[in-house]
Amino acid sequence: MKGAVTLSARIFPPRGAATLAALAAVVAVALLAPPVFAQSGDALSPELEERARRLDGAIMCPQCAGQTIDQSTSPVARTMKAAIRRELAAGASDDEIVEMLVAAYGEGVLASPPTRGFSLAAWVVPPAALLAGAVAVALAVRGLRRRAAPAGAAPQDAGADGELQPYLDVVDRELAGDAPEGGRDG
Amino acid sequence: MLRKAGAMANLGTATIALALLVTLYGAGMSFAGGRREQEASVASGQRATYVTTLMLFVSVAALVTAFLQNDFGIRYVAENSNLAMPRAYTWVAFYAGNAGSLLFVAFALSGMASTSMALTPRRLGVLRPYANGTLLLILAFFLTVMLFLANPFEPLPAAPADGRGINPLLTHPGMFIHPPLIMTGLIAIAVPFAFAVAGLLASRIDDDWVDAGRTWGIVAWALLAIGLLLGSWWAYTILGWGGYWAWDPVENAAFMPWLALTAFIHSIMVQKRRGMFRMWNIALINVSFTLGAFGVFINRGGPVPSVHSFGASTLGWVFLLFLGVVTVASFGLFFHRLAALRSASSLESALSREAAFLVNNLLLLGVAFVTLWGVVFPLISELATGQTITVGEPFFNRVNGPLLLALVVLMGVGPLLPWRTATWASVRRAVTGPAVATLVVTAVAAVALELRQPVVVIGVAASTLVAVSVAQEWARGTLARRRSTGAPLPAAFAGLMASNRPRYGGYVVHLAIVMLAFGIIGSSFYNLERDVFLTVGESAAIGAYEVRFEGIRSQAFADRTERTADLRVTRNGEDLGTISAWQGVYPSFSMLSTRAAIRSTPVEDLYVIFSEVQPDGSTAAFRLLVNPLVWWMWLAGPFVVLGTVVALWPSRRSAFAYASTAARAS
Repeated sequence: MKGAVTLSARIFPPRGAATLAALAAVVAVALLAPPVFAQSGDALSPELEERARRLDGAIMCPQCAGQTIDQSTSPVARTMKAAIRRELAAGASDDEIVEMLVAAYGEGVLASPPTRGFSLAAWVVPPAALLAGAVAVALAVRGLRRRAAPAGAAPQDAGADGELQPYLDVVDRELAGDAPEGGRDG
Repeated sequence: MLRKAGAMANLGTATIALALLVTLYGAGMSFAGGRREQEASVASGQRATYVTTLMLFVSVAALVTAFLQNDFGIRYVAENSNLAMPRAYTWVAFYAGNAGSLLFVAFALSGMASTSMALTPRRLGVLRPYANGTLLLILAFFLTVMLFLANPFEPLPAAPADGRGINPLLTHPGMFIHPPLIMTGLIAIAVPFAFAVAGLLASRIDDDWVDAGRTWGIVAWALLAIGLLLGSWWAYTILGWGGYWAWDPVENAAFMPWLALTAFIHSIMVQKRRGMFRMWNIALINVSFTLGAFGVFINRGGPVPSVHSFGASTLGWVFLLFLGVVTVASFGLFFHRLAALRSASSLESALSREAAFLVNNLLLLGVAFVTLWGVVFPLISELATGQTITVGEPFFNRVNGPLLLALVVLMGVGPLLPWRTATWASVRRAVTGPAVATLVVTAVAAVALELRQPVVVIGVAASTLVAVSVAQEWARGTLARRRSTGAPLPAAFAGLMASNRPRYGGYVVHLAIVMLAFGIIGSSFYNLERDVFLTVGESAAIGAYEVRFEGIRSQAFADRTERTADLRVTRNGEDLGTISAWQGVYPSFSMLSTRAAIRSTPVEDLYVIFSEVQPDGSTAAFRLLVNPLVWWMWLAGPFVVLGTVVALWPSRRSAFAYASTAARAS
């Protein structure tokens, strides 16, 4: 729950025995780090800190539904952030760090779906749907316009809006004396 | 005490049961009376709606009384309040859990039904009873669920000495209005939906449906808009991560129907003025209501974890069933009546306001679809591959961000296009002024504020274009009006606004969206953030601010320990006084609730929260943020309300028209 940090926060349990080793690595890294309260300020170079921030925003806090470790102030998130910074300082690439976290916590630790395998669909479907929508609108416009040709001008522009029309007429008249677009209404 | 308390439980359950009976009777009378054109049955059906509202009011009063009397013999009261709870939060505790929020939704729905029926003129004929019957059937669903599956008046075998207490996250002023508005907004979509169903049943998709659908569509839209804004404000001040929107599943669940309604209240204007998009408008309101039902499903016992899982329940399947029935029934009816829905008029030009509205609809539904996709994709993925994945903020920002930006651009251009058809020359004339002004403003802003990211520059330009084009429309109209009537400027402006309320009310809302856009741009691209540990007397700098930790005050209450951290703020050496960040520890919920210290100005907010404190209170963990322009996001709220009131304010002439039609009819 956002902001609501359970008092007894512990490291999220690993997903399987196979990932235990990876988790142990994370925990070890965290334990080797200086105690939390002693650690403040930015030890990393600005470039590394920039990368660390970007990673923070892409990794979910496993214990706080819907929050990235960047947003969360929970101890778990702080431990994970510290681990990321340690690894960065040790020269690990962003991908290596992400892989390590995924190995420890599962794919769910990524804030957005990876662009491979089945998860690729998450990224491909929205633009495809939008494109389909655009085509549908274009076809509808063409269909509506084709019907416009034989039917001629629609008569109910004025009639469809009975209750406002007298006012609109007044405005139109006023605007006609002023602006060339005076015929606009609506 | 105990005997009285039992009386409340009995009264509550009895009124819900009676309301269900009256509802079913009213639905039967409305449909039968409408079909056979029996005015007496129709009137009886309508009175049933009023009686139901009265019954549910008694239920609501009974539950509130039970809370006030600390009647822990009722399970719901015991689970959602305790003796230490401030009395004012009785109202919040009322809908803090599942059963109570169902009662609230049922009461809100019956209230909306009564109001809409009382205000619907007789000349709508058979649309009235059909809409009334539809609303009563929807209401019957909620009453049935309450009566048999989630009764807020369910007694406990033995009353405990004290209750569990209200969820501490809910003890915030925003909670008095945010949940009721969202719930009322979601359920209010039932009203335009009911009129659409009535129109389809009667094969009458005419101006009567347009007026009723538009009015109640805007009402639901405004309720949701204000509810969403208040929710953001709550998240900003209490959830303590410095943000206001996280694309949380439940936020999304209220956001999606709001998007569909936004599309609807634009596209219904095309039908109002041009008689077009008849099919499309019905489809849009069906989609809105379906998404609203989906929102209720996600919110009440849905399958996705969320900040809002306060009343986690096992009712998921019931709401899924409701969602299924609503979808199948509404679209079934829609396709059944497709032939009656052909438009009477046609599109003359792809360069016209009608066409702009179509693009607006495409983009709004695009955002709604992406959001829906993001909400359900984790479920799909889990079913397909067995793997749990997260679709979080970065996904939504990346995919919806460009679409929302495109919407703002369209919002600047669309209102400048005339109905029916435009020539490029006339478009150029209308757009040149605002475009030039926009370029100048954006260039100045980009240089003065050192805006570098292309997205930001485009966003600023688009928002400016909207504001400038609205200003141009208002200025021209006002000046023309002054010239022709000789009225002074304020009167001329008021006259202009009154001359076309839907349009100028819409402009006010567009300005509110501009404020939101500036707030979002400022706070997402230019916020500063720093996590620090401070010992009493130490300072930390962020931006131009220097924050000194003055110390922590602790106070113990029966249900919580409150800690307040005082911080002395200076900016560029100038003393700005003390701000206080607050924290409450609730052992019975094993929960920590935070309240940020916020120093808000139109330029930027200084925002401080603290998470952990050493036992002796000497050192604490702080998060410092500077969030530019967030102030404007909250100002957008009043403008949304104002614009809605302007757009919906009945004109004297239409009141007169109703009266004269009624006179002719009698």
